[in-house]
Amino acid sequence: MESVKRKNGYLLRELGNSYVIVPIAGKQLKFQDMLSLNETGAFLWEQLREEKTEEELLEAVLLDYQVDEKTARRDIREFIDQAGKAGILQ
Amino acid sequence: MGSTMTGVQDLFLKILTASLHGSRLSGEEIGKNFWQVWQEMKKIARQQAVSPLIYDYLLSWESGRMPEQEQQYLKQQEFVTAMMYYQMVNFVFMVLELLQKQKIQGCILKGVGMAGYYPREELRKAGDVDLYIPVPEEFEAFCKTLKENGFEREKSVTDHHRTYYYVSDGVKFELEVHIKPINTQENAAFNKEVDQIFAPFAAGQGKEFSKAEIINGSVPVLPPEENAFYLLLHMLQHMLSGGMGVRLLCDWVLFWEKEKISSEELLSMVRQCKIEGFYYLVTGICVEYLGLPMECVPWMEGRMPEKERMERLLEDMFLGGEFGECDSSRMLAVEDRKLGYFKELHRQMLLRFHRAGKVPLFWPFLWAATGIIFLYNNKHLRNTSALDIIKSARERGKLLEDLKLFEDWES
Repeated sequence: MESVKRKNGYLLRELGNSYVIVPIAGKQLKFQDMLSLNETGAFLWEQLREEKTEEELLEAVLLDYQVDEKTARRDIREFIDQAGKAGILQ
Repeated sequence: MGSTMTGVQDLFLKILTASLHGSRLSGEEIGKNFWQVWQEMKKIARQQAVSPLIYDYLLSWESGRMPEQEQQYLKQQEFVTAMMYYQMVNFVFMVLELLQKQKIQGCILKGVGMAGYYPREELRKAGDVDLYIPVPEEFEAFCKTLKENGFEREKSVTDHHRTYYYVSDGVKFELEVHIKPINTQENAAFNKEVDQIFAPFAAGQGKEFSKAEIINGSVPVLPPEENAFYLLLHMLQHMLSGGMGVRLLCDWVLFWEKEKISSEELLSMVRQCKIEGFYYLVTGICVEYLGLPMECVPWMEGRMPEKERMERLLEDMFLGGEFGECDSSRMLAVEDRKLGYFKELHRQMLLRFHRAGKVPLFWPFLWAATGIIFLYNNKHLRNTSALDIIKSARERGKLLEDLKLFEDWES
């Protein structure tokens, strides 16, 4: 997998025990296109402030979460796949 | 004397305090039977318009113990509240852009202007937008601009703001454009002092607005001291009519915790309007029941009101809901004297017929018309009787007297 980075123009917001990404254009919040994330998704989104490869993301997840490599890799791929489809990565 | 609050009300205030401060209650404090009282607490939270804060606390700390169905419901509610907040923020920036285009000076009162003080601004429920345009010529010009930009004016019986509606993508937004911070009260001396305090804004000189940071930018707000004074006046205004709820106290707590306010300057305004009793009473409740640290309000040392008085006000808040709407007979509070009702009738007449009311010759007819409208609205809109309203007004008038809201602390 090539390295990816998050696009600009989105705000990550915490709501209770979940997260949302809100697109922003100028001063307008595009809440209709809001995306829900779980905790891992929010963590990965924060990581992608800088360009990273799947291996680098995996390393970060394994460092911060008590999870096995297989599950972590699956979560990362799932996130990248969904975020890519939503067009929020570059 | 023991507490007059119920166990659920007490726990509600504890959870609210924890939510406002990002802290966690112990299992013992929450209690084993929490889910048995949850429905009752949910009702209180809704009545007090602080559901998002209570839901957020439970989702953050108690989701493990929460029934799955309830968790899904709270998550959905929180998502909806956030969406409504974002819609409101967009609306605020749209209004501010109109203001900027006209080069008109105005600021946001409470609402979105307070949200940035919350642990997460989405948690402050915002129903409408209040915009203060103190210079009369600019106020008129902006009202005209609103009309040209698709805003519809709604008739309202008040002399301090005009209400407008705007529909965008099927969502109806309410905008109140204020020429004065609060409406005219029965006490003429009080009105005069309030006008004098805000006069530098109305004259368009001598006072600059501040900025409040929110999710995607900053909005103009009153300078900290005037903003604190306005929050206090706003609470008092509701207290003197239908009643005020706990949400307004949440604003007060967070404002004092996060804003630098010159307490001397504020106290001088409070004294000028002779509302010291109210000032110490609401702040005392915030210290005692909502976790406002004494370090943030050191001037409260030695001024804490008696517990009985604080709990009487809290009881009134729990009975009335956010603005007294839980009790249909609540409309106002009139001191227990015959002239009080007449003065209120006269005030309502002037609010309703502000042009014709300027001619004293018309007054007898206008008093009669106001009385008839009052009776009609009670029957058809409020679904209550005039007698119940008068009884409630007298009872609340007595309560206000007992609460010593206008007590002079220095004499």
